[in-house]
Amino acid sequence: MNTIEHKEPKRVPIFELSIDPIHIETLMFPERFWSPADKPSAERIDLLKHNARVKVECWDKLGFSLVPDSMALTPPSGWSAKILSEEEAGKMREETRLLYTAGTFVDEWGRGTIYDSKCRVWVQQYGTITSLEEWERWAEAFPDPWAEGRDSDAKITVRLAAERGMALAGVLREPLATLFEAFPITTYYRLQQERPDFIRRAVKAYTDYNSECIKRYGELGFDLVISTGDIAHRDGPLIRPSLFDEFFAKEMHRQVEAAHKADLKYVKHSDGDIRTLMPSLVNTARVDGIHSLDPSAGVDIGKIKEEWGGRIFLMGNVAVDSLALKSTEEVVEQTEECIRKAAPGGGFILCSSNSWYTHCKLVNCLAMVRTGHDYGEYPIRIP
Amino acid sequence: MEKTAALEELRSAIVNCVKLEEVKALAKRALEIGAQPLEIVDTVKGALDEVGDLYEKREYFLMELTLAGSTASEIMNMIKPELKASVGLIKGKVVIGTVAGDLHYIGKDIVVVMLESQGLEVVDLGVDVPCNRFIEAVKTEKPDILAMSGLLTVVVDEMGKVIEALRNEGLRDKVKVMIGGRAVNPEYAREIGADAFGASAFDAAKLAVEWTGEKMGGQ
Repeated sequence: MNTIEHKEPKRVPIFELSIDPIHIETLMFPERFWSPADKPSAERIDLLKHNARVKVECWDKLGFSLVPDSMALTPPSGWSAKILSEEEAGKMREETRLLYTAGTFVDEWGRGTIYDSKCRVWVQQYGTITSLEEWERWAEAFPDPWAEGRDSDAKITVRLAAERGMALAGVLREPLATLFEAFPITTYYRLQQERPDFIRRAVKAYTDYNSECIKRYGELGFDLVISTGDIAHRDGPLIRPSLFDEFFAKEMHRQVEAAHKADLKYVKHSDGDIRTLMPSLVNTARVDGIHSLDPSAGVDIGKIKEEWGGRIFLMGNVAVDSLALKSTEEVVEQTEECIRKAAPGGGFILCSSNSWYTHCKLVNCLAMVRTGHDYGEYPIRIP
Repeated sequence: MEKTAALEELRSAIVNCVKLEEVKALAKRALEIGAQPLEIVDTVKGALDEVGDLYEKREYFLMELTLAGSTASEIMNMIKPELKASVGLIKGKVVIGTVAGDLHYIGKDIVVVMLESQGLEVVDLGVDVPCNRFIEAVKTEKPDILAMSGLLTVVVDEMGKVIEALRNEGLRDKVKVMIGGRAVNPEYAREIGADAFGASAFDAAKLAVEWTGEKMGGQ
């Protein structure tokens, strides 16, 4: 992982933050890969432990240098899922005029998710905390980063990755995304505008949680942390860059400091057009790296490398849309282009601009990896 | 305070995303000193137009666009009783949904807020809406516009399928179709025979208002 120190490694490291179960099962047949978020505690933890093994083996089989783990987002032992009943969903529909549905799974953070049976993953829906007062009630039992069982599958990931010489990336959730997902969107925006005091307090609480998880990732021997959760959409940031800087980037810097203290690098992930947020991310938050540099939102990895590459390392930016819709030849071309623009001098990890979701063609995903292996040897020789 | 000044204060408060309760109080005050409900509607629409322009110039962001749209909807709801007797507050009806295979809702919901803020009636079918549900809604709701949204690339086939089904059912000329979302673009809209591609929530609302015969922006 010399590359994150801005040195040229032997070859460009390759990574994916997430791969949907269907692709993992195809690659690892006859293994199964589960999405057990709604299962009772004991069963859930067993399935997550199973997943941890399959995931490391899968990432290793693909020749990836880095494997992710989501300990910070894994509920502890004894935690039970809350599933909205028809009556509860109906009441929320009436109160908010939003389309809450029965069967919505409410996670530890108040985020509502529903199961996508085709992709076999849980997909974010409306936040289930609908007012500041409800948040206060929810926060009375704020998630404990050190709760027993939160790291049960992470320990397996760590052991298996170490046996294979793979580096480890610990996943966190960004406070802005957590707020955006815990509340209905308009409610969050209204609170951001009208109750900045509350937003500061909430962001501080989420940051404290993340900082403790970072400490734990450090103890477990991780190499970097990736703060997931989008801060931008296709047309630009979710909030005004000055607000992001004031409310979120400064607190993100606290997480970066915690990471450095634990000897970890700190990476911010976001889909969307993050270009106007780059000064905040680099100068205020002082992150070490950026993932996933979304080309479909106009992010050109060459330009980012030119402007910021001396200070941060880059992870991305083969378009997920291309993995889903384009020909294999076009994916190969895009991958070569990413390597050509971003790899020289180090500071680059090749990956898609989000994840390998179900509708990505696996043949294209594998073409991306093969191109990484074929052309990723230093010194880079792509004309 | 005279009426014109009160309406101006209302417009400015919406554009500047002042607290909701304060904006509602300003609308109430304007009514009390003699503003007609339709003048409030025009003022709100003028303010939204300004917010939309600022968004397109990238001086405003999704937060301001959403807040202004939501505030406008609240004011529309507040003055609805006064408007009942006036000439048609509801200028048209839109059926909207995220197509089958896609559970993403954020983009669609922001479009819903913007459409409602324009006084359009919106029938929201939710996410992962199968083709036959869109067709059924077009038959029963008789909307002026069918709006389909999608973030995942898989939606591109679904949108085409719905338009094809509208043709097969003899409904295509009864409803305008707009599509939007990360996964699609103007070329694709043309390819599948949609009437338009809404590049943003504001764009979608502007199109809807144009199609339902009312200018957005007021005086």
